[in-house]
Amino acid sequence: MTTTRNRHFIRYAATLAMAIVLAATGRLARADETCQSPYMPKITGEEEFVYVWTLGVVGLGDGSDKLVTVDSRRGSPTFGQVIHSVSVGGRHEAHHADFTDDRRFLWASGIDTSQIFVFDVHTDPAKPRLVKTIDSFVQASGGVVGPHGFYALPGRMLIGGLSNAQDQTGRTAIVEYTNEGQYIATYWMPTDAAQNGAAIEKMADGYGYDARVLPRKNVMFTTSFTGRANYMRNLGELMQDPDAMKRFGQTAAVWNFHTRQPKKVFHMPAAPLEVRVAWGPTHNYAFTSTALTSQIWLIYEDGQGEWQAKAVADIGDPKKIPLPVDISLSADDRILWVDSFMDGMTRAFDVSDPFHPKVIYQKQIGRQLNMVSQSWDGKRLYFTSSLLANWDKGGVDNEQFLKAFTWDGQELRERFALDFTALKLGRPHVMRFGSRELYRN
Amino acid sequence: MRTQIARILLAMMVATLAGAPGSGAWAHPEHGSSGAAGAATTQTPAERRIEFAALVPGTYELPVIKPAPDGNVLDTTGTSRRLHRLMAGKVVVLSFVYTQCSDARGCPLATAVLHQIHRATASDPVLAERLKLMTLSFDPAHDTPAVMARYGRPSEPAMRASEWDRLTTTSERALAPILAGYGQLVARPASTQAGGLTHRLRVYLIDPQRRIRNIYGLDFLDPELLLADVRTLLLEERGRR
Repeated sequence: MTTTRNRHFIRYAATLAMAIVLAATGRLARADETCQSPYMPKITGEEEFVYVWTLGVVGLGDGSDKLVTVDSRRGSPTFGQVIHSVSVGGRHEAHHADFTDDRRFLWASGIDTSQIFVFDVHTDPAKPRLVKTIDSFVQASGGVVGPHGFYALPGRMLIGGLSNAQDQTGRTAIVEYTNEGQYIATYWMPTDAAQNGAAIEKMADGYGYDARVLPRKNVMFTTSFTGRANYMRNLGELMQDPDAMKRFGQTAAVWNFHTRQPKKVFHMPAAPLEVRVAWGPTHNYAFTSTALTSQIWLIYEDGQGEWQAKAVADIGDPKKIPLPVDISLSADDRILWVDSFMDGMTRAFDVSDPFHPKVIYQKQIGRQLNMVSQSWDGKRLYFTSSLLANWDKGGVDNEQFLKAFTWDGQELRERFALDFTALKLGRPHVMRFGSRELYRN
Repeated sequence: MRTQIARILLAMMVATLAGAPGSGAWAHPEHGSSGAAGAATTQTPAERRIEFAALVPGTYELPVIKPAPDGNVLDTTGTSRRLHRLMAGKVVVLSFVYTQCSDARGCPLATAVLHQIHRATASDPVLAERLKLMTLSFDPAHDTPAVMARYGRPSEPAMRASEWDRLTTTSERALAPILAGYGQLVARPASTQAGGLTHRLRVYLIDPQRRIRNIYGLDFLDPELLLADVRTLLLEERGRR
């Protein structure tokens, strides 16, 4: 007779056996699986682990930034629990992380100290190890500060900066490194004074944030945030400083990806953040959202083969400044999840018609909300709370959590929730998925 | 339009070179075939598209990525050679393959692209002289010098085209440092079933100073794009003289 435990194991093993695929490059089907580089293997079945890059908090646990591993295996005796944690020592403003193209290493950064931490996630995916720290990023790159997003290319990492060492504004660049951690090149964002061949719609502020690629069209999209002088400053103080508030990004750009040359700079007020590129083989567009104006923007190729950008939907009530932050596009390009920090809401937009997104569902996840990651099949979503150490809310509103849900197309249902404060871990930020199946022969 | 047709024809040609149909999904999952039940259909070679305008050589730069590693290899006569000596101060396009690959979107595609480039050099004396193609097997047990001599042999060997070295190694042990140096991971299954190797498809562009200047994955493995990069390096070389 098959015991319950065996039935769980069999079902789990069958799911995994069917589902794990090492996808080649290209916009195939074929998970945050949906937000990652197309050059990387994808977990198209069920993820086993959730890696959470977490900011340390003074007086909480060891106070250090750390990579936390959560067990997400159905039927596991430690399902929904923290099973491992590796601290990097110190607080660096842990922010984003992503894998190399072989998915064997996870690069994670601190946008305050500009240090990059490289974790081995393939030797034992349940227990990542810190194997390298890059502390020369600012010098090597020629003054880029705040390595923010990591994007895997063949044999290399593309790293979007947030700021610069000279004036701490959002003027910044994209930097390339080899997978082995050696500097390759710096590509400064176009400015009005140095357009680098780009067509400028209205202005070029030289700011950066996210960088995503659509290889089939040889284009890269970048967005813009703000500099270290702002993002490391207390939010309440910042909002009282009109001059500082002017120093938020107003642009997004499309680049010739192969040559790393900007083609066009769009005027996109204000603070367009995450970019998500559509997956379909004929879907030549990408979404972003503007944090300060609460809009979904679409960057698309028009009938003449030119790239355009336009606002296509409001997120919540823009007058209330819900502050949309992370977004996640489903693998079938049908649903765009949009989180907003101030109201703690997640909203699912039907983007089957990308020019006319419609809210089909919304739910308050917590008192504050930032990141969202979804499985490749769209059936599981994970949310975390922290935005920035000096921007997170205070008091009882300062909930710090990882919450996992299932999504059946109608309703989000909670699978598990972790209180990162009670667990003395810190402020959870970006999430990435792991699986042992990725590294079996 | 003609470029699009040529690219589609190239993709279809791969099916011929590949021999067996792309049923080796699990044998070569890295090449993009989906084994997940209910997953979207995979993109066949005939559907693969590169939809952007040709690049203009010399209008962009290719930064130095890292030095191209050296190593001991065997040529098709079984003679031991050093990779660096074979590069001989030329621009090199280096592809890692194994001859038993049955995935049309994998090694056969890389070889088909090299064929396309090889043909292009026949009508360009500068390319013919300054470019060298290299195909290096990561399956030394099967891909002996004799096997490599037959692999992807140009249909018109008398063409005044660029040199094309087909190489292998004496053993996995000799091969290992080369693969490690180039970051070319290869997973070998426990069984000895043919077509069972797993690797990430990568092709390397190496300059006359033996430095890697670009690494191509499947999405950018296009002969016109590669040739634009090659010509960019040749223009760079000319500018230094």
